[in-house]
Amino acid sequence: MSKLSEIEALLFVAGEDGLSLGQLAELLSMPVTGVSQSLEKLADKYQEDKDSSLALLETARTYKLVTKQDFAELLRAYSKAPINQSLSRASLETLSIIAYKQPITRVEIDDIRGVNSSGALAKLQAFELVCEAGKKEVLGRPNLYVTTDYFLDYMGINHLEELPAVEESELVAEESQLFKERRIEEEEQDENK
Amino acid sequence: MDIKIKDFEGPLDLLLHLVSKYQMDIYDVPITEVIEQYLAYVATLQAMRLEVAGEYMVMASQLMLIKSRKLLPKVADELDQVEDLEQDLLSQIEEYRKFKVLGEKMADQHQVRALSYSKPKLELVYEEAELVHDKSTIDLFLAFAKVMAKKQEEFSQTHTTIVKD
Repeated sequence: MSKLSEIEALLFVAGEDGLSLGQLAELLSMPVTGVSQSLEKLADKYQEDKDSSLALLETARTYKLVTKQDFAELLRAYSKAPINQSLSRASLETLSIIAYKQPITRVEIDDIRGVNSSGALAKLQAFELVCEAGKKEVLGRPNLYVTTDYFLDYMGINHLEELPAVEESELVAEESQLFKERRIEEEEQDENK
Repeated sequence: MDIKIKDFEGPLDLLLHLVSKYQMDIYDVPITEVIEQYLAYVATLQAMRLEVAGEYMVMASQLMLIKSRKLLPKVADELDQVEDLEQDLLSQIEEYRKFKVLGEKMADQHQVRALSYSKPKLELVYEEAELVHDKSTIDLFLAFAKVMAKKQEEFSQTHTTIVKD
């Protein structure tokens, strides 16, 4: 039994929950540096082996055994795991506000969006992308919402700092892009009339 | 008008759409014109007996206040009030736009993550393993409620849910 095969066995059983460096080091009684070296080796081994469908993924600071991205098309019809599903626009807006402005109350989210966000918030909580974290010390003591570790996994990142940033110039470009797309759609609709 | 209200995520989204037609900096947009368009739009919808969400009405009343204040001759003390209402609205649209764009970026980033599939954790069973009694009725209740909520949200197509606060 090599160290690599031991790590593979552990990651296989852990599945989508994954294991952190610390957990692996403890289970294998190895130093953390040794584990991360072995993980790199394992990742390389998968990548070079054309007959292997597996890859190593690090999200939310845990390592998971996943299928290579090339198989997404093949697996889409078969797998219906929540992590591979996309969100509605309302949920996405709400999630982005929480992600960048956490901790935040529901009323504050409503103010930014200009609409009631209870539905989207309930959905995000059911998917465990956001959770309640304490209360705000104001009148009414409203709940504060933050993103979870699963949110990091959902985004494929390890830290919140890795979230996409937005530049002012980009905003203008995106906006006119959106506008152009809408214009084209509208023109098409006009032609169809 | 060939856009339906359900294409928009609320009044700010609609305002953003109207403002973006001018293709200039948000703060340079002729606000009175935008207000006119917004009100005309809501009026058209009502004429067609369409269900208009309450939030659109609240926004309409705010816009009417801004417009009517603008018409009145300027008194030195009250000058700031009108400007403030207008500026608040514009910065609200501006901030909403930021998160709309960020939301789209996050969706793109998730798309990449969604290409990697994994399997659920394998529940291993041992003879020697002993049950830790650390779960209560509450945990059982919450676990099932969570599964139900998830499934219900997946199937419900409506965005309007009435929650008793």
